[in-house]
Amino acid sequence: MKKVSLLCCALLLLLQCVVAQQIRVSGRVTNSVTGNPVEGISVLLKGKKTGTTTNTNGEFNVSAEKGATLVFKSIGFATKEITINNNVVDIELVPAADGLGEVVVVGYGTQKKASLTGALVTLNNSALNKRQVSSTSQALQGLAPGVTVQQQSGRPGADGASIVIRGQGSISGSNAPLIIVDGLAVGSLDLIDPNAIESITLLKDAASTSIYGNRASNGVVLVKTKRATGEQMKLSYNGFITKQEATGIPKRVSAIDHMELSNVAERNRTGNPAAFVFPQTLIDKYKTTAPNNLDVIDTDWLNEVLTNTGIMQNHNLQLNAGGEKMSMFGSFTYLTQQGLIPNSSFDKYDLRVNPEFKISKKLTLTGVLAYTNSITTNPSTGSAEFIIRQAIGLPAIGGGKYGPGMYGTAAQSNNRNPIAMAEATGNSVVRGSTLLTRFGFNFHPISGLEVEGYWGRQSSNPYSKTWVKNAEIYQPNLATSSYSLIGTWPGTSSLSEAWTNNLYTTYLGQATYSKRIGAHSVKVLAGGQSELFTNYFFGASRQGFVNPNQPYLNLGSGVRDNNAGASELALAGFFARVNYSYDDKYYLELNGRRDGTSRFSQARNKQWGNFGAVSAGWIFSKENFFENAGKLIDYGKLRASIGGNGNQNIGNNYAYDAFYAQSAYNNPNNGTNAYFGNSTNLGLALLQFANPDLSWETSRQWNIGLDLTVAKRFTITADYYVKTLKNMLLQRTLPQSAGGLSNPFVNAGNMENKGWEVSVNYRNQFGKLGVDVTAMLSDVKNKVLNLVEGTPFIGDGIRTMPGQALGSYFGYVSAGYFSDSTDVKNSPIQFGVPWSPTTANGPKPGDVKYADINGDKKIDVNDRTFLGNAFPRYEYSINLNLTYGNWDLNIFGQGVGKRNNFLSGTGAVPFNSADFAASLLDIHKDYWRPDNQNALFPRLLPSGSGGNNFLLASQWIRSAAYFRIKNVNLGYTLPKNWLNKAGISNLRVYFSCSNLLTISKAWKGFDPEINSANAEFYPLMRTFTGGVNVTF
Amino acid sequence: MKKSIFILLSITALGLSACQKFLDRKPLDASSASTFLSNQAEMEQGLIGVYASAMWVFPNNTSLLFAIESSTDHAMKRGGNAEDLVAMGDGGPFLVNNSLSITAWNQAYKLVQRANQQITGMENGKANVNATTFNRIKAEAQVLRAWGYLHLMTWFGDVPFYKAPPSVNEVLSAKRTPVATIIADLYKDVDEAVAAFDAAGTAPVQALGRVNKAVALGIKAKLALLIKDYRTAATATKTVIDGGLYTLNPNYPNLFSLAGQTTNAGREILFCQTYPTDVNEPQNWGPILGVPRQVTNSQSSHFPSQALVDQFEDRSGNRIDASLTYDPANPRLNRDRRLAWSIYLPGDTMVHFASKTPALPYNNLRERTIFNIYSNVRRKFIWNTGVYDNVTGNNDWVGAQAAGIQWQVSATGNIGGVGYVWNKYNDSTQYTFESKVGYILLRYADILLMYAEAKIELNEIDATVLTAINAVRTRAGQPAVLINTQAALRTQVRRERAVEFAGEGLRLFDLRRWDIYGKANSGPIVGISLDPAVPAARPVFDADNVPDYSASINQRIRFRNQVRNNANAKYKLWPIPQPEIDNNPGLIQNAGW
Repeated sequence: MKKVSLLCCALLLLLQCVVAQQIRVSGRVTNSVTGNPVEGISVLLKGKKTGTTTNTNGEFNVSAEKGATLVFKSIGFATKEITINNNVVDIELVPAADGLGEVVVVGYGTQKKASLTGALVTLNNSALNKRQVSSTSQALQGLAPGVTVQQQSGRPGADGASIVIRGQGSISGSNAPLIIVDGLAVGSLDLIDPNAIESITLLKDAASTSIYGNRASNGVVLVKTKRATGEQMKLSYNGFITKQEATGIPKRVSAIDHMELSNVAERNRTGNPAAFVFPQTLIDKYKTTAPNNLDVIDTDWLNEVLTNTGIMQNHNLQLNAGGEKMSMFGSFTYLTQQGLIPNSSFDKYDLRVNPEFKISKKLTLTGVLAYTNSITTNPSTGSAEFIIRQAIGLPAIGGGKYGPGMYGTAAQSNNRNPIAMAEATGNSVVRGSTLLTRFGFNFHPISGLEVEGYWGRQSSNPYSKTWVKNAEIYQPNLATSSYSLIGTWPGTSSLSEAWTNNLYTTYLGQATYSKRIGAHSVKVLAGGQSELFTNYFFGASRQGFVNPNQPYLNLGSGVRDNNAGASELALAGFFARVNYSYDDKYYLELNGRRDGTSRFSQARNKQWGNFGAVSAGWIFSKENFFENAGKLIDYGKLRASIGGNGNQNIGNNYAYDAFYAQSAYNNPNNGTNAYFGNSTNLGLALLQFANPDLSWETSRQWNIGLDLTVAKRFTITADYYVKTLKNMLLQRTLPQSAGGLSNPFVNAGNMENKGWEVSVNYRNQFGKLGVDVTAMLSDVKNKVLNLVEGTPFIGDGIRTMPGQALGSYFGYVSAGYFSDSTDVKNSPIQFGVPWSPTTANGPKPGDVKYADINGDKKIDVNDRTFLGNAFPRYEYSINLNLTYGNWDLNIFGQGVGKRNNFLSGTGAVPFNSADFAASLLDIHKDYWRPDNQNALFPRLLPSGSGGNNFLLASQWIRSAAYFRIKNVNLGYTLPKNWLNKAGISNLRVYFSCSNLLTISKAWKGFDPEINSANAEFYPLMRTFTGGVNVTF
Repeated sequence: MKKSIFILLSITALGLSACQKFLDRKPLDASSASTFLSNQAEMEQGLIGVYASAMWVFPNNTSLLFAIESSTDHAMKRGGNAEDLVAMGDGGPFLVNNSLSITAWNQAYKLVQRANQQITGMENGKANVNATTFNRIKAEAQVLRAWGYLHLMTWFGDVPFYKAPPSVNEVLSAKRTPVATIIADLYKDVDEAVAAFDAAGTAPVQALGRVNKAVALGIKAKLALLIKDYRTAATATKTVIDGGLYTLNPNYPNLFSLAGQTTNAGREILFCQTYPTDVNEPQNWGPILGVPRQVTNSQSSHFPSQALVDQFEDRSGNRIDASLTYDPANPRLNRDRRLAWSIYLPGDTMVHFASKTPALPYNNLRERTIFNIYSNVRRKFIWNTGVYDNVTGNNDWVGAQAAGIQWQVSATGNIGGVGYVWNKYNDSTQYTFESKVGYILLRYADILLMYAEAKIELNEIDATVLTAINAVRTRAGQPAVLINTQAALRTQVRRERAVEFAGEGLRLFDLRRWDIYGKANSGPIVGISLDPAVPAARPVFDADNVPDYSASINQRIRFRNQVRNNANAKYKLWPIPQPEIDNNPGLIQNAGW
């Protein structure tokens, strides 16, 4: 090595002697808008073929004569020429409107957008911060075609969205993409403060993901946090305050309706027109007397439960300290979010420091230090979702709250009252503390070679404390017009605490060498990375606390328990990539990774696998024939890729093995103790099914894509792909003849996702009016090709079978209602009970009639069929940005063209009694009567007497298609000349609303976005936000 | 060049082996299936786990076999339950997703799986345990596995047969193995177990609840009877009898009390579902489910039937249709003592430990009541005065229907029994809600009667046959039988099984192999006389002891207006649970289902 360097030096000296008039010109090219360095810019001497390209730091080095002209040229930037006068030339290039000059983050590196051959989407900070959200994942919704983002809950601390890239990637393994933040696989996107994110890149096809090997089959999300730019000090503040309210909650019926309809149900059940549950005298009394909370009770449960403010505040302070030798980006954020019910809140503090030290021209040290502390509070005796479901479902005649600390029985035999659950029976507080650190170096020993390495660690320590205490339950005493204490709920007090340590440690080393010889440009990357995840937890609990205000374990006098556990997961991989391009027109890329995981059996050689991809791009608009052909198309590129990936994400670190365990008798039929001679003998048994041959699932994906810039204003991207999954990870429900063990993971079969994505952007400036519109449409269709032994996989109400989409609804087809007794008599016998005039059993007019699918003149389990699935199809969005002078407006709409949702439980069934004796909802008033044959619901029946009316059937599978105005954001930037006097460089005030308007066929009060089977949900939020951005 | 390639390869090899080590992560906090059962202590623990899965229940703490008894002609369960639907047959509906049959399948296969896992996994430690002990532990697992398959075949016929933990593909492509094939294989298992018990010198009864050589032979006999292999059944039972280690407990009621079971006089109880007295759960819910609703805190739901009651002879040894002493107006008198020991009839004095806190003014944890269904006034013993008091309010009163209490009367339909409640297993020293009386699975009387039956069917009727039958009869105070024709003895021994084992969960097994399930379990379900002043006439019996009540139907209590109909040949076997077929469409359902 030393010899080579010496030789080089000698050569350089020689060259300088020979061409004395030549000088070395070095410099740095940056983007004039972002201030970021620009890689891959051709730096040519005008009129000559010689030149160079800029490296990843935008730097270049070239010999030229003084007075010569250097041409800086690249797709995506306006070409710039300068005359050489100095040895140092720093250039700012103006990016073109089509964004092709952007440098985007890709796996283990960066690339210029124009040279990409894979399918990926990059979102920069300005796109993300249009919406004021509490979780980063929510902000991604509708911004990238082919990326399904579904938010299922508005609960503080749990309102993040699921991200699925290009369809269902796995049956029972995770569908979640791999999330990489600054090179660390930290798992959750929501852990990262959106304010500190510079860009998010979503890698979709195999060409862009296969470098991540056995974890990348569901796509990869790369997050890059901000670093200081330029040599300047900048302090900015972004703060907003938001009022949240539910997008929708079903409407309940009044006490009178409840009683009258209960009587209708009882008459239907008994067939006796005089039967009743509530006497008419009582109903009449309710009609004439105002509710008094004594003998006339009309509790508005929702009103009593949804008492929290729903206010959210976010304050973010950012410091950009750019310097020549040392720079630092700092960010501090405080978020506080109150939920809709008491004891529902989320607080988060986020501190980040990203420093950089330029030790020499060749060596830079980088660091990341991020500390997050969060406090999530929930009620302890039931989830917020369950409390809200009770508030939706409980009868209004049940006693709610009679005074401070005085709760009613809620008309439940067990006295469980959601108001008490929400506000008086203790809470569960999870304090999360996460420290992320990363230290690394960048070393450029010689031109074109870049060596990089880092060590990273994330340590997170969630600590939870769940405190359950008693609420006092009262009953009205009509004689004295007062209330008497009848008991407490839940009747026990307990405290449980758990402490967890999750540690993630990674080492990475990689080298990149790039070289351009004439029109040939080559870049080679090779490296290796190791990752280790360890988990340890311990917890303890006690019961029997006397003082409800002293939640400390030592005070519990009742049952004691404690527990602990530990596990590890190790990953190691070697990766490489070769990029070749010719004449900036033809591109070829090869990716490969050899990857190992401890999750599978080493003894059976299931740990290591090879993954790779090849992709190519052709900028046909650069061809001579094309340049002459069309003036309309400014830029056009065809892309194609094919490659493979893996998925090993099954949430179980030792899925290949099974364990002997102890199980108490009260674990139904699964105990491990025997009682010889009337004394207990502790035994052990295998409670899981072992599958030592388990390995990761693999996917193969091919993709063709087209990028176009038309009429300078339109940018269009379109992709078509077919993704085939093999050896899918499936937690298989086995026949009970396997022994009733918990279901094993198996490599189960093949599945296919076929999809397409189109995105169109239009950008123009009309005088003071700037317009920027993006529209997206995508679809993905899922089909299971085969399964192990060809047998269907039966999940909870759903079924997966070859030829059908994963997890399809499998049930009966409703053929309306039985219109009268003759109809019942003449129809096939349902479930073995023939029509009979006397018995209460069996179908009656107004019950759901099922279709005889197999034509055997009877309705039974053999008449079930496939009824669609819950996966969104035809997802679309439109994102409109307008600027007019100092005003800016963003309107963002998002929708799903086709989706099914099966409704059951409290939401669908009147008087449902699965978890509590429910009343009914306003929508249930449209029930079957002889004069209302086309009702929404069958005849009313009391709890548990609904017969077969609420089976999984087409009747209850509803369309969940929707279009929703997700966001409207209006901002005004104060004129600079006003501000400069105050030392403020920029000040913008804004107002925004989210989920403003929804168009869907969902039942009133049900949010179509939420996949809520039984009306158990925490509603999504409609928000109204006011905020300010200030930069000093 | 060569040198550098060598260095490069060495570094690569070193790196890869370091990687292998880095990726070699064993479970930290659990015992792995691939290494467990490596020594005797672990094997014994695993074996306890196998025994744990032999505790079959439905639902909750109710012994499964007791529940199944309620789906036969000799018992019933409050209406609308899974047992009731099974019993009803065509009138059920007894569907392929019936929870009783599904639970039975699931629990038996859990036992099979644990036994298989034990037998296979023990190979991990074969070298570390002496052969005699190893074989004894294995033998216990083998016998328990045979017990599981015996019941699966009784209930479902041909079933998937695994002798080692199956792989996923094996389970999903499983086919049903013919009963004869399974039994032939299990004979070998049981023989191997018998030899192992002999070698280990296993006690005549190990701690109550465990299996031993006699249990192995008893199960072999039952397997044999299932396929009418009477020779094997006779030989197996004869081996137990000739061993001389077992006799009948001279006191029949002691078999069904905790104290009596602990003593186990004569070692009559061979195998038993036992309950712990050192912890609260589990408990035997059989007793509480039998307590009539006129007793405090009762939960009555399982009841004996008229057809069972009428099997009990008079004390002269005559069936009631031939009896000179049977009085339809007072059917509880002059009957085989086992009737009173097993079943309370109206007029019987019942003692139940019905409350943990004495209810004033009775001042005793026990309630002594005279079982009464004919009046709203019942007689209850007042412990501090020592006299019976008249208490108004009787939830079992047949007339209570009018007041809206659902005692099943006549044709109007209701959810009670038919005038009888279980006494067997009611141990008044045990709080009925937390009874720890074991549920007997195999006792010596069964061995004797199986022996007799096998020999009768072989038509090898000799003194040993009569000795076996009469041992059982004499213990109950019934006169010895002297007949020696095959047909008469067959009827006799079948009736003997019915009364000796009433409520002990053997009825379905017996009906199946005697091929009379459909006949015996069809017809209106009747009970005691509706009005004691109008005594119902005696039934007529056929050669299989199946009674015909058509002459007296209008004088009797009716159970839910129920007419059971199991004439369809498909009811000879239960259906394979639908979830099994959903998950493995290659599994063929029983004919007719």
